[in-house]
Amino acid sequence: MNRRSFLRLGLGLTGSTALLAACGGAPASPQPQGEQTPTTNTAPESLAKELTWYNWGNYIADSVLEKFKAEFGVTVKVDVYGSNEEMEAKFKAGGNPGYGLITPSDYMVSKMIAADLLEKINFDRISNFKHIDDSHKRLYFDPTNEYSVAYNWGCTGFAYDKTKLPEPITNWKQVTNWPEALRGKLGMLDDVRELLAVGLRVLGYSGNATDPAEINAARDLLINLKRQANYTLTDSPSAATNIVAGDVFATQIYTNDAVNARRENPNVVYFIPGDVSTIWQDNLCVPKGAPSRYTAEVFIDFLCRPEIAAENANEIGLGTPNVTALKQGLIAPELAEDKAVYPDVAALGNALEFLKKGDPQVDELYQRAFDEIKTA
Amino acid sequence: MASDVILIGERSEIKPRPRKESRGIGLGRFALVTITFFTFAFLYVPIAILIAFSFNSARTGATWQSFSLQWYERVFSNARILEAAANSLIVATLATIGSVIIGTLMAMAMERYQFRAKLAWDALLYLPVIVPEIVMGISLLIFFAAINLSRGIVTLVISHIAFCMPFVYLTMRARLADFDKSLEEAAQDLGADEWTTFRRITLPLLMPGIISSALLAFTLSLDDFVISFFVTGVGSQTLPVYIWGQIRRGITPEINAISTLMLLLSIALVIITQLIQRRQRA
Amino acid sequence: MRLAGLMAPGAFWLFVFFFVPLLIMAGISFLSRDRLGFPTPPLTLQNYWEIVRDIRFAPSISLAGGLTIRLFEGLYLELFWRSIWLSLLSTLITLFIAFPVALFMARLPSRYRNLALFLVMIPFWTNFLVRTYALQFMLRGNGPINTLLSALGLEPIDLLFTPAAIMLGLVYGNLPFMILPLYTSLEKFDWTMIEAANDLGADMLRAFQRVMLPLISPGLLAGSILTFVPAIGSYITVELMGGGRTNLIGYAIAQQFSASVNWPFGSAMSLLMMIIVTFRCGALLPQRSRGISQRSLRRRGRTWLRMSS
Repeated sequence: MNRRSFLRLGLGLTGSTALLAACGGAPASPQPQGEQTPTTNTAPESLAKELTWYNWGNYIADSVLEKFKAEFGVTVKVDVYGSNEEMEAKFKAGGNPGYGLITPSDYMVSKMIAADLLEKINFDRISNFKHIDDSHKRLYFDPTNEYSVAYNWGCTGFAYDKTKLPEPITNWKQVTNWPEALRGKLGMLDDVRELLAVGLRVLGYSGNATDPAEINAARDLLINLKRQANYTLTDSPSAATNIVAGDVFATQIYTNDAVNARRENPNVVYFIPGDVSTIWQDNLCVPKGAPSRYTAEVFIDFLCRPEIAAENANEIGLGTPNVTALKQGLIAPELAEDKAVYPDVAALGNALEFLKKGDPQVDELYQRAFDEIKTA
Repeated sequence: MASDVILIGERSEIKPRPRKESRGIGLGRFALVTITFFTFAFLYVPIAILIAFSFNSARTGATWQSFSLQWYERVFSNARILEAAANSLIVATLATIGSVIIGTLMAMAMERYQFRAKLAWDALLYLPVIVPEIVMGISLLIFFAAINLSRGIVTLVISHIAFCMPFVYLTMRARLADFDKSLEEAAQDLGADEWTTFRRITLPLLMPGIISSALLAFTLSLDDFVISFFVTGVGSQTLPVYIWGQIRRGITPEINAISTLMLLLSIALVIITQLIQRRQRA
Repeated sequence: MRLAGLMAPGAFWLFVFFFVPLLIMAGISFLSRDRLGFPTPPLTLQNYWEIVRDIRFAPSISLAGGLTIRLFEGLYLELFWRSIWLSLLSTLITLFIAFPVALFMARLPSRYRNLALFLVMIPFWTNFLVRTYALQFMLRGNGPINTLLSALGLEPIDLLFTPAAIMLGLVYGNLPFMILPLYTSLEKFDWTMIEAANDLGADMLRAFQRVMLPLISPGLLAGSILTFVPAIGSYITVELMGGGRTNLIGYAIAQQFSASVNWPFGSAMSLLMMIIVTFRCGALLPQRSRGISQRSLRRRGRTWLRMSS
């Protein structure tokens, strides 16, 4: 009953070689080419001493790692990256440098599956998968759900300082009529798709539009808005800093950063606009060439325990897909009751869209439109 | 625009004239001191801010809340950040040594010898400075993968030497352009062999240039992000790479704390080397 | 042969770890992109075409934000042009600040000179990102500058996320790269030459122009190049200080390797950028290989300097 797949391309490094590589020692083959190298996968129940996780920054509670070590004797070492594309570039150009676990976002999972960079996960070893809510399984990027396990999810919303704006904002359409008096006080996200999604959705198109005419219309709307409002284009944590410091009065922003901003400036209001919003999900995946798939799977199973997932989510401040944790009341009330962190997905319906990237032709269109907006 | 300068020979036109008292000098000196003072202030104010914020209890760098040592506590319990800092220092030290040696040798070769390909090399040696870092980083990544060299400290040091060396070279060449060879010749006339001449005459005279280029190389390496990002491997992340990785999910003043600590360590390192040098001279 | 011995390590390093990777990149710029944005055959000129295809002759004059006279229009043309201008300007400003400082340092008693060098470099041993955030904070609405202004009863100024802020960030980051080479040249400068010029009847300005400038030009050159080039490539500073309001070529290139994966296109832009910058610096090269020295000057007794732009 085991779905251990002996795919030709890349079962790769043995555990020891990977450890040596981690210490900067012997040169290891970065891109295994169809060798059937004996790996620790064949020894069924042996855990590696170490699991290297290529993860986002600040994306795992240290206490969780300590608990895992105490129970299983495995040290989890975390290297950080700041964007999916950075991770992708490293893997593609030089092969897996030796990581056993990665955390790609939704669209990146589908890209990596297409590029044959991910291992199929043996779900027999992840019994705790049942605690993950069904709404986070079998999504567009992994329809058969063989390669990924949901880790965290969140949305892109809008935050504003209620003491600085003349009237409360309730939707993005309102934002596109930014008043002259507040010129220079609006912030947007420096992300190709997030920015253009605003233009597209306000005009009534999908955030995943592929028609150049639609994309160009969105571009023009955003260029006009830039002339009107002179918005800044920053990453989300900077947007949080800016709104707390008062350099912008309102901004597009991710959930977790908005929560942080709110903690420091209680005047900040955050909400998910009903006309435009994106949802994203980060997933645990095992890359090809991982030294020990088994260890990774044990760890994933560990992370799916309700109490562990809750501990993690409370620390990071993002939404956990672990519905059991929610039902058992393990999530801190401040977060569980916050409609921004755990929005009513059903009620928001169509407003929440996954931004699907990966089609080169379309991506080029978007990138060019973005360049034009930025240069205007 | 002062960016282009071309030198051509021409006849001098200076005619003898009664010497004027240069009243300007006193004023000039005052201006010099003032500008220097304000420049150093300008350089240090952000550093002071940086250090101050490492003691800030607030999370974002927007407002000051209260004095707190919590970020230092967190740094010392954060094995990853400490490892990254250690990696940075190790790589910077090794890269500085390597690039100073190689760069100085190169500068000496280019300045003192004439050979056929010299003009070409002269032009080519400016190229490394011109290449954008991201280009260099990615091409090095592909290169290391192609020759099967596993990414880690070794590839980091190699890459850092590669991009620091041209800066050392340029600085040392500027210094060597006016080196007075008669001193070396005199020493050799007095019977010193090549190595002794180099050690006792050339090296001490080059020391100021070597020190400034070493400083340059150390600084460049310590702070490098783009190239390091691409050529680093598992567990060998340097501090800038680590910090950059944190940005998207929110930074904390932990990075201010580790930055302050690194600063103190770097200063200590330099002071130690200075003391060693002074002892050698005495 | 001693020459070979001296050149060998440097030449090897450069060749293997610099030129070869560069050739790889040049090669990539002529490839097409696959589904994921990575290079794949066939060879093509599409990438370069994409950069220049929208360039057209469209003269215009605009007064927004200073007089702008435009002859050609095109997205990437605009980006290149803006980046070069900004970098040149920042290099100039850096030069004007760095020169007096380097002069001051060079004239210090020798036991203080090393200390001065260290003091210049120390700020740059802090992490670049953290430092830039501190720079940002300096300019914020609630930051020290505005707090000072308010205390003095003046209007707070909106500095952050403006082109001025970008300039500040660039100058700040490149100051040591200009100071150090200038200092190196000035430190060995023979001040008696100025006295000699004075004795011959030249005033300070002429002495400076005709005697000092040619002799410190190696340092001047090195400093200018070491400042101009990073300025053109520095996109993180530009983004953080400018708030994403100003787009420059460095950022556009970085995007092609990160957010929007299109390596062949990014490589083409990089290659183009390198060629343009090389040409800009290229005019300086003939002077370098002539190696003017103080002694040869005394022998010849004539110098001439022409500034061109």
